[in-house]
Order: sequence, then structure tokens, then C-alpha cells
Amino acid sequence: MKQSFRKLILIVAGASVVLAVVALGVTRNRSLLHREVIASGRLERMPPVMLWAWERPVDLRFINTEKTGVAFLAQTIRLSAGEIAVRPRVQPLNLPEAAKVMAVVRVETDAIKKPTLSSGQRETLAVAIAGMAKLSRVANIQIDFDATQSERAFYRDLIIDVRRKLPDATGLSITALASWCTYDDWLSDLPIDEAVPMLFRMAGDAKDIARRLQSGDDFIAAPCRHSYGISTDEPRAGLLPARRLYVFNPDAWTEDAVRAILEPRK
Amino acid sequence: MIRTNSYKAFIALALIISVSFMLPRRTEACGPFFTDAIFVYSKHPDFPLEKFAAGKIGVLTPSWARSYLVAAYRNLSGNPLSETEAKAIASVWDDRLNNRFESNDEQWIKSWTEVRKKVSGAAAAPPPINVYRNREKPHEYESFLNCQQDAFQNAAATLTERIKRFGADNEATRGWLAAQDKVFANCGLGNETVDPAKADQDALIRADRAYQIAAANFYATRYDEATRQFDAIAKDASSPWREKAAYLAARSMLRKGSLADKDEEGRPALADAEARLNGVLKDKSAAASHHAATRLLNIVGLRLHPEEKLHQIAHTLNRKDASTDFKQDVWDYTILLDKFLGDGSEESGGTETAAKPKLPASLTSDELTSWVVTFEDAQPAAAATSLDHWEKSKTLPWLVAAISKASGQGPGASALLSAAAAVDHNSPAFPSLTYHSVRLLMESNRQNEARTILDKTLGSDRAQFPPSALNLLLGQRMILAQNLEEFLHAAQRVPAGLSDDNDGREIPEEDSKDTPKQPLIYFDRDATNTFNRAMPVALIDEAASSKTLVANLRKDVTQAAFVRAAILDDRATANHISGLLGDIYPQLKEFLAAYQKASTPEARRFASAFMSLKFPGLRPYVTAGVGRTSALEEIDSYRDNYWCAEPPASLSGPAYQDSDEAKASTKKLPTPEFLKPSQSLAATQYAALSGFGTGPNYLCQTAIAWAEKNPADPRAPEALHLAVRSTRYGCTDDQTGKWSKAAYDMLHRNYPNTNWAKATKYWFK
Repeated sequence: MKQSFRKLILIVAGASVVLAVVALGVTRNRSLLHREVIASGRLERMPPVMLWAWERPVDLRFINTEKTGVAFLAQTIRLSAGEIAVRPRVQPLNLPEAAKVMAVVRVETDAIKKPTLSSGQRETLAVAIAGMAKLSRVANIQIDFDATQSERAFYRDLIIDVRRKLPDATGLSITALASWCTYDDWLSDLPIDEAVPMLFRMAGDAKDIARRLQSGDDFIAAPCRHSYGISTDEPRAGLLPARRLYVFNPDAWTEDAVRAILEPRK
Repeated sequence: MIRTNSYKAFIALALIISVSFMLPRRTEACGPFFTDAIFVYSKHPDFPLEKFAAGKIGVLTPSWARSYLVAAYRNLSGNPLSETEAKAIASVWDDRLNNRFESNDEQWIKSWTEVRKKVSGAAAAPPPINVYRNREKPHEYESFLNCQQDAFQNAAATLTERIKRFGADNEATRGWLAAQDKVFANCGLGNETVDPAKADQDALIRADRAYQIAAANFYATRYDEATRQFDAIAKDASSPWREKAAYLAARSMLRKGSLADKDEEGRPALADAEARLNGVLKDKSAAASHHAATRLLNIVGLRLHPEEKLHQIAHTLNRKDASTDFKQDVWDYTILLDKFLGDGSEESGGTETAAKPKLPASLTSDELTSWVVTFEDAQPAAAATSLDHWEKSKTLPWLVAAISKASGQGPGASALLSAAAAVDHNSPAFPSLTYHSVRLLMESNRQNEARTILDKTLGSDRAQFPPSALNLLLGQRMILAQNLEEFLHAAQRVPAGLSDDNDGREIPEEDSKDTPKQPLIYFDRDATNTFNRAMPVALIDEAASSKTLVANLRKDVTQAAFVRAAILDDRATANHISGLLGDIYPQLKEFLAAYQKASTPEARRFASAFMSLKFPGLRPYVTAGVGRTSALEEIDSYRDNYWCAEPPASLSGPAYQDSDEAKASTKKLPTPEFLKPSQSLAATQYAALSGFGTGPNYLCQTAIAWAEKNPADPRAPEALHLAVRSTRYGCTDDQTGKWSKAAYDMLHRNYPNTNWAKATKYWFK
């Protein structure tokens, strides 16, 4: 009887431990899941296709605003030695009133006069970037910065600073070199809602990335699993249809060009 | 403060006003970017562009921006640019290629702030100034350069003068500065108004204040108000600003018209500006503003009467020294052409195959415009148009256009060849005519004649050719090579420039520590394609042994010859080249000796694979351009290690090659004549090499096969470890994961306690 009782106690205790571990795990998973839902939720308001409108005259008055949004270059910021030069968009951008828009900032660094990447420079940059959220109808912002290895720590801190300065409801997207999403992941713990893997002009990574996509391999870095960045002049196969597309056009946007993107997604 | 006579201000204003048809065309790509060689520029002529402006135009290319074609036309038509014109047009190119249209506002503001500090009490914390102002809805995402350099220069000059007159601590000076701070606050977000001066203040201060009030309204985009106020100043005989005020009233109207929501809404204001500017030009007392007014009138004309303006500028540009502002005219001309023809050509090179919009018929009657538009047109009809023009006119520009578009078997080829042959070697057309004559002869199977022309030209007229043009001729000569030595002479070339080409504009790099200094002779892709796909390995061995090649290329050819021979198990060739390879890379000697000692095909295969695993820079291919920059034994940070199933390619290739990798790989390669008898062997070897797949797969398979049969070989566990490493850092395909795992499993199963197994924690796919 005693043995049976002991067995029962052991079973109950064991089961309790297992349940506790499972419960803890579930809670933890839920917690992570919850965080992910919130993170991607900010961007869920955006249409499934976003057209990049770069620094050139852009007329997209013809788009269907439910299916297509616009990520427009709002400013270009150049870091050079200890200086920061902010250039706002000067090119026309014509959009439908109801267009869902994302403001993009392009960050460039001077190859000759290497930026100091000081905390002061970072603060000025973060203020300029976060300031884009004040633009009318801008619910999300995107940073386009091809940071080199030596600029990465600066960029990481910059992203953290920008996130702190942004309203909670404003989504933060960044563009990502394909290598960051595959074999050189430094993005996974960043406070971003997505990293858009840039699947064009990939230089040496092109064949490897094409193979990965076609064989169904996903990106290693989790933030890269929400969207793709492609170009109209470099068709990509193997893209998952549920993910948002950001599309670059090296030439002027036309109705035909937009239709060619939307047609395969019907 | 607004000043009248700043040239840069006009350029800036022209840019703002021309926002609906502005640069840039193609924009940035994604990195990482690597410096590589450009052998033939396709977007612009060779640097320095001053030489091009002076008539050294090389082989004219239809994809060049239109401003280059303007300079080319003038030179070809026997009406070369004057020194002033050449400088002016070179300045257009410099501005565009260096994005000089962007303001340097930090410097403007800094200079102004320095002067501002001289006023007592103004040194601390100057108010922030943003020279860009955001537009209103529906243009709320656009900004414009509201305050330009001349405003800051004028303010600084005026303040210096007022300090001199009234003193730095004078209330009048401080009042002037306070008003000016409000003026500049309106550059960005501000909506400040400036209070009038008191009636008892000095007359100069009152006149300044009236001007500041108008300027503040101008910058706050209250253009009607500003116009009225400038009009009033223009009527005030006592104001020192009187002469400028009429011009500034016109400028206010121009700004109003340019920033209207819709073009048609802006036309009345532009028409008003036009009338006012014509009035200024008629007023002799406003002579100081005449130059500025003329420029603004041009800008108004661009918007109100584009056809008439284009016609007028084309006419002016075509006559020597007819233009009073050649730079601005070239700028306006190309922008107007962009407006009529779309943005496909200026700067970007455009889409060659797409039909372009037609110019209004009235404009094609301009000789310059007709030639530019026809020359850049890639449609077949342009060939007939060019030939027709040449047959009627017999002029050099049309000869160049016609021969550039002709084919060897097409109409007029014979007449074009005869006409080209009669052109003087010092003519600016000579490089284009030579290149296309040779092309036509090759297309009509007249190889000997083509070779004779090339040898003569490369022998005696080489200096006439800019690097891109020279490389085009060398590309032709390479295809006409009758033996290996001729091939090697033509295959190695000096690049036209080194660039990471990160924005597709082919901007050469300035010297930096990352720019390779020496050597500067490389293979272009046509040469490496020949080595890699069309040359039997024994001939690559022969090439490696030739003293014709420069040292860096010889190194590359030598390693390629050995690795290729070893993979193909061409023992004789591999052994022959191994001595030279060992001399070039002494660190390989130990491994080459092991290869030579190996007595079976499997042993040889493993020995060479083990060497490749230890030296990730080895590959069975010759590389185009700058190539791999990491040391032979080092892992390259950007995965340029081992080899891929396809040979590597450089960033660029000759203009006549397809830049699209996918298309280029399927395109039939022109084969040098001397290689034609060995094409069957070359094709067999290339197929065998490709059959082994990507480097890491081949290396894994070889290491596994060897370790299976020779488990006691001390190299076996290291080879398996290195094989797994190769799948992480090398070129992979859909089989790589399988081989990586197989090598990993064997290492951990058969050699679990070795350091190699401990160092191999993962396999890769």
C-alpha cells in the first residue's frame, strides 16, 4: 500500500513537474508569439505589395490602394566625418488620397571622409529618422542603410534609439542585405518589425539566394521572414505568396509595371 | 536677403522648377559592393571628360547620355567646341556625375553664422535654419530648396556693411539681425512676419526692413504679398533695393507658378513672371539684373513654351560660341529632350529595346536634335533613317550614325566601308569608324581585311584611342587571333576605370586604400569566357607558360591550368604545370609533390582536392577583372572561395556582350579563329568539369571517397573537416547539404576523438 502510495506521489509529482515545464513552455511560447503578433501587427495595416518610390518624379495615382501601398523615399541622410547632411525628397510624388504610405530614409556614409559614428551623430540621425513618423498618413517607417561590418554596431544602436523615439503604433522596417538574412544574421534580436531581404543587385550572393528560394529554404534571421524586396528587372522565383513584396523599379512606374507585379499574386 | 546675380542660384532654381522631369534615372542597388574593373564604359565616355569635350570621342555609344552626344555632334560636324564651351559642358558632366545639384547648405549657413556672430549678443546659439521647405497638401511628401546660397551671401554682405556703418552693438544693427532671423526662419517650417521699422529710424534701416518683410513673405510662400511688396520697393526711388525689386517680384511669380498644384494652375503666374522679366530686360536702369532676368526668362520658357525653347536652344548649341551660357543651355536642352522623349536616355542609358516616344515633327528639323535622337535609337528603323541622312548629306555625323547601325550584309555596307576608309586618322570619327568597319568586315567574313585594319590601327594609331575604345578593338583582335600568342596579347587589357559601380553609373573610384594599385592589367570577360569554356586544358597550360602574360594574369592562368588538369585527371598537363605553380606559390610545393607522388587516379584526385581544401583561392577557372583579393590560403569573407559550377564573371564586360548573366551563359560565344579546330575537345572538357558540380560538392565527395578507402591516411579527418568548412564558405547548390552532412557524419563516426571532429560542430546546407 505504502509503495502504491509512494508510486502515486511520484506519479503526481512527476506529472506536476512535466505539467509545470509544459505550462512554462507554453507561457513562454505564448509570450514570444504575442510579441511577434504585436510586432508584425503594426505592418499588417500595409497592403501586400509596396512600391518603392525613389528620388525621382513618381506618379502612382492609378494604384488600387487596397492591394498596393507606397514606400517613398522621404529623405536621404549622408554621414561624413562628424557631419550629417539631411536631404528631404524634392521630387514630385503623386498618390491617391487613400494610399497607405511608408516613409523611407536612405542612410549613406562617405567612403572617403569616413563618418565618426559618434553618439552625437547617432542621436541627430535618430531624431531625423524618427521625425518621419510625423509626416501626414505615415504609419510606418523604413531605414535603408547598407551598413558595413564596421558600421554595424552603430546601426544596431541607431535602430534601438529610433525605436525608442517612435510612437508605439509606428512600425519600424529596415532593408537587409541578403547575406544578413542567410549566413550573417545580426538582426534577430533587433527591435524591428521586419527586415526586408533585398533580393536584387546581390552581387556574389545571387546564385546562392536563388537556389535557397527555389529549394524552399527560408531565411535564417526571423525578421527576414515577413517580406521580400525585389526589382522589376530581376524576376525572382520561389517567393512565398503570403509575404509582403516591396518592389523597386529602376525605371518609371507605369500601370503596366504595377499590373505585372499584381497579376501573378491573384 | 535675395540677391540677383548668383549663377548657382539659377541652377538650383532651374532644378526646383524642373522637378517634373529631373534626374536621377536609375537608382541605388544593394551591396555589398566590390571594386572591379570596367573595361568599356557604357554610360559615359572615358575620363577625363575634358578630353572627350576636346574631340577625343572614342567609339561613340548610343547608350551615353545626351549631353555627351551634343559634344560629339559638334566635334563630328567640323564645328568643335571652343575652349569656353568645352569647359562649360565638362562642368555639366561634373555636376551630374557627382550629384553636384545637391546643395551644400551646411556651408552656406556656417558662413552666414560666422558673420552673424559679429553682432553683439548674437554669438550664442544661432537659430536653426532649414533651407528646405515642405510643400503643402497634396504634395506634402515633397520639399523644395527655399533659401539658396545667394540669400545667405547677400545677408552676410549686407550685415557686414551695416556693422561697418552703424556698429556691432548698435540697436539698428541688432534690429536688422532680428528681422533677418525671422526671414531665415521661414526657409523651413516658419511662417514669421517681420514688423515694419519705426518711422523715426534711419532711412536705410527702413528700406532694409521693407525688403526683409517682402523676403520673409517670399520664403513663407506668400508670393502674391511678396510680389506686391517688391513692386512697391521698385517704385521707391530712395531704396537701395529698388533695382532688384522688379526682378524679385518676377521671381516671386515664377516661384508661385512653379509650385502650383497642377501645371495648368501655374500658367497664369508663369505668364505674369514672363511679362515682368521682359519688362526688366527693357529697363536700362535695371541693367544689373539683366543677366539674372535672362536666366529666369529661360526657365519660364522651358515651362510655358517647351517646343519653341528646345528649337531655340538646339539652334544656339549648334553654332560656335553662340550661347552666352553654354552650360545652362546644355542643361536645359537635355532636360527638355527628357521631357519629350521620356527619361530613358540621359544619364541612365535607358532601355535600348523599347520604342521611344516621338518628338514633335517641328523639332526633328533641327539637325542636332535629329542626329541625337536617331543615334540613340536602337530600333531597326533608325538604321534606315541614318543611312538615308548620310546618303543625302554625306556628312561625318551621319556617316558615324549609319555605320554604327549597319550590318555586314545589310544595305549600304560597302559604301559605308569605302567612306569610312577615306576619313583622316586624326578625325574625331576615326575610332568609331575603325571599330564599326572591322565589325562589318567580320560580319561579312572578310577576316583578313579586318585583321589588317586592326593591326595597322593598334600599331600606329593606338594613342588616338581612349581606353574603352582601345579595349573594344582589342576584343575584336582577340576574336581574330590566329594563334595563342596573338590571343594573349589582345586578351590582357588595361581597364578604363576601377569602380564598385554601386549605383550603376560607372563612376570610377578615387584612389583610396581599397583601390588596387598594381597591377592594372586584367582579363575582361570575353577573354575569361574563352579560357574557361573554349580552350582545352593543354592550351591553358601553354598560355601559363607564355611570357606574354603579365605576372598577375599568369598566376591566375597557372593555378586554373593545374586545378582543371587535376580534376580532369590530365596527369601530364598537371605535372607539367606543377613546377611553375610551385615557383609562383611556394606554399603549394608540399601539396604538389604529394600530387606528383600519387600513383592512382584516386590518389591524384584526393591529393589535388586536399590542396584545394587547404587553399580556398584555387579554382579551375580564370577570373575576369580584379578577381579574388583574399590570399590563396585564406577564406574570403564574401564567400568567394573554391569554385561554382559556372565560371566566375566580373562586374562588367565589353559593350557588345550581354550584361545579363543568365542570358550571357546561354549565348553562343564568338570563338577565336585559332581555337576553332579544338572546340570539340574544349567542349568535352568543359562538360566534364561542369559535371562535377560546384566546388564544395566535388571536394566533399572526393574527401569521403578517399576516407572510406584509406581510413588510416592522417589527411583523411582533416580533409573531411575542411570539406564541411567548404560547404559553409563556398558556392553551394541543392546537393550541397547532402554532401556536407555525409562528410560531417563520416568525420564524427570514424574519427570521433580527433581535433578535426571536435572543431566540426555543424554541417551546412
